[in-house]
Amino acid sequence: MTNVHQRKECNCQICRRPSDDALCRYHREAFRRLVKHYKVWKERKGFTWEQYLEGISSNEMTGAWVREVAEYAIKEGIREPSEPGA
Amino acid sequence: MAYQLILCEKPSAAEKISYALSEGRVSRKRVGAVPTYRFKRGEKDILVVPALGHLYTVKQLSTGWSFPVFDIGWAPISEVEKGSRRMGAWIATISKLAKEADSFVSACDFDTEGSLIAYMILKHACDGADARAMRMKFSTLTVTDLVAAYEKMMSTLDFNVINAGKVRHELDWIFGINVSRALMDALSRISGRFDVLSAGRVQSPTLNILYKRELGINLHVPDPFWVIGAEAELGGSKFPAAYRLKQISSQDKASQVAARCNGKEGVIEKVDVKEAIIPPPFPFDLGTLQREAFRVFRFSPSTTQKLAERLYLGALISYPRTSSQKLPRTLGLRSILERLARSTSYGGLASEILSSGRPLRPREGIKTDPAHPAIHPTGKSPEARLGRDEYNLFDLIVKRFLATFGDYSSRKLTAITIRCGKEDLFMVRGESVTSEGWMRAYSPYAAIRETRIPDVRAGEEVIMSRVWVEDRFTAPLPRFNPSSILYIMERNNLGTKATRADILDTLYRRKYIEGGRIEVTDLGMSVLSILRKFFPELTKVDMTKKLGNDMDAIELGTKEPKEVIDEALEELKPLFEKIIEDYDDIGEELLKVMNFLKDKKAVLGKCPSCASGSLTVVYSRRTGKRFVGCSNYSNGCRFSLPLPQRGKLKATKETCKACGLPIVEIRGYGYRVWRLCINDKCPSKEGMQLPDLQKTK
Repeated sequence: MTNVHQRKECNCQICRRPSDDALCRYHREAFRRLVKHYKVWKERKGFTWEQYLEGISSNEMTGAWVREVAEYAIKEGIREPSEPGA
Repeated sequence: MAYQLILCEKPSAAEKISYALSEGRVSRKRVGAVPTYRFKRGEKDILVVPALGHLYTVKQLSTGWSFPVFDIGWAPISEVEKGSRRMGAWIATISKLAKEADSFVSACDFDTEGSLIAYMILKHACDGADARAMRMKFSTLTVTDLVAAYEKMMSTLDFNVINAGKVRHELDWIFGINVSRALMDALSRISGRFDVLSAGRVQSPTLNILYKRELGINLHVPDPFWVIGAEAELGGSKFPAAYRLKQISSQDKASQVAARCNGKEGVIEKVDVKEAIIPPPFPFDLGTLQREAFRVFRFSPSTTQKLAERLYLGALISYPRTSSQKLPRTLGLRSILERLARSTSYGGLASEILSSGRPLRPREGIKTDPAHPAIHPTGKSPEARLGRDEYNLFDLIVKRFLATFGDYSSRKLTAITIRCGKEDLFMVRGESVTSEGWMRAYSPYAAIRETRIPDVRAGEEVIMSRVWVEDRFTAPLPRFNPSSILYIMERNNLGTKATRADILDTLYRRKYIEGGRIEVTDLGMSVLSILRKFFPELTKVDMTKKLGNDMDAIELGTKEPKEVIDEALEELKPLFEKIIEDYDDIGEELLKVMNFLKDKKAVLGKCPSCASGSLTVVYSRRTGKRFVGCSNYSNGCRFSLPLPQRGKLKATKETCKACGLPIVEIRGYGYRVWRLCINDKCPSKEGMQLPDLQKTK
């Protein structure tokens, strides 16, 4: 299990863009938004976190960075953060 | 014998002007490479000489590749740009011809660039003749307009316009060169590598607008919602009906609506009928012409501008670089319409306008331009057959001109409200044209949509033949296209009507953006994010907008050029000082970005073997040969594939339909680009003859 906010590496784990964190600022922001919108999906569709990630990654409307971060979260088995944006 | 020297912007314009002023009796002679036209007008001996657009440009006065640079002057382009020796010879010829001239006239296009072109040549190549030169002012290249412009020429050059152009070029240079140099120099100091990176006064804020939209699209998280789709049966036919709520955030609630209404009877609660009046369109200014040509023909703004300039040089339309939406009476609208009435294509429509008996009053917009009227046809028919694109644009301009004289168009808008049960309301909308008006003249370019619905009355029963639920997701904002970004630039006063399309082309050329639905590339994103971090002021619209307004003020004579330059430098100098402080940081950041882009360029796709690595082009240390390898080699993934050894290889974003592996582009000398799957055993390659790239030279 990986926490995306704990790793300290030089490149983004998703796009290899230079970064001081595990994710570059674009993917970090995408992750923040991904977490924030889960509430809406949970309320409207009753999805679990895993179903939500699958739904987001296969949706045509999803932005490229959000899709990448959702696929990354599935691959790394990232669990639903306790607080949005935590 | 001394002659009057008339200076034109381009050879084609020189020819038109010569034939118009000489009434055909003209002797054409080449002096060096320059075509010249000599004739008599009354007692006056005249020599018409063309330029080749700008022959002078801004140049750094001191030597060396330093930063920041503020000591600038004007010099022949041949001294600044490589491969422009022809321009030097052209200037020398004009200088030679100027020696025998007793008076000078500028007949360059009547706008900022045209005025500046003539001023620089007259000042530097004609021994300071700018002080005594006169100016012809015209909006079309028709004989009547040119003769009138010659007879009533201005006694001096239009110095306010010249000053505005001069200041714009100088500030663009100071902004562009300094920031671009800072970027390139910072990178080169830290890494020793040289990459062409550019930024500009208008280019950077424009890229910033595109960048923000790109962020919005890439960071979009779609939220689910539901809509009710419905069909109502009216007079035996089915019509789409919209539910009272556009979006429903609960699937259960949406399903309940569908269950309540599907196949049920409803009652027409009310029928609203309105008449919508649509006034004729405004005549074209350059921006609206570019947008309309993109909407109708998908022409890029720069293509439209080039085509319009060709039509202008053929004396078919008026000067296209205008921001005016006015057609003043002094243009001789009646005679233009009379000439159009004689043409086979527009004769009918033009005759109708002339014979309507009403005063010839076109609809006009609010935008004005002190130099030129709105774009309009001259009434002249094309002498030679126009190319397809030129013809299309010409047809659009003529029909738009005719449409401005048209009657209002009217439509009947019907809205039928249907109540189904207690709480569910649906709306069926109909639209029909009751009077075509100006739309007939503007056909086929006017968008006429009709949905005719039968006459019904309140209280009548209606069957909701089908009501269903559709799953939807919120969509991101659409991407900009060349037409919509041009509109945003215009609204923010970024660039001028003449330069906006070129700025967009520069962004494409620099590979900062790509595609018709504009996408900002990784390079564009990276350069812009560095600009936003270290030069935030340069990416904001405000500074450029202020300078745009200042230049308008110079043109109107309400602000002095020196004042504008001093104010701009006052803002820029501390900014450049800060850049020097941040030099190492900028360099390091750029190096990281450039290395990232280089690595990304080398990635062909995902490794099918380990699924976590990336396939890249690897060069063998032992043999120097290239092959495809996995980035997880050090972690044990041994996946590899052979590659052709010759030709320039480029990754594409595509994957093979047969085997799913990446497709690459290989360009060998003399061969067309070869796109092939990297899998040497791909089923798509069975029986395929690959080009022998080994033998190419």
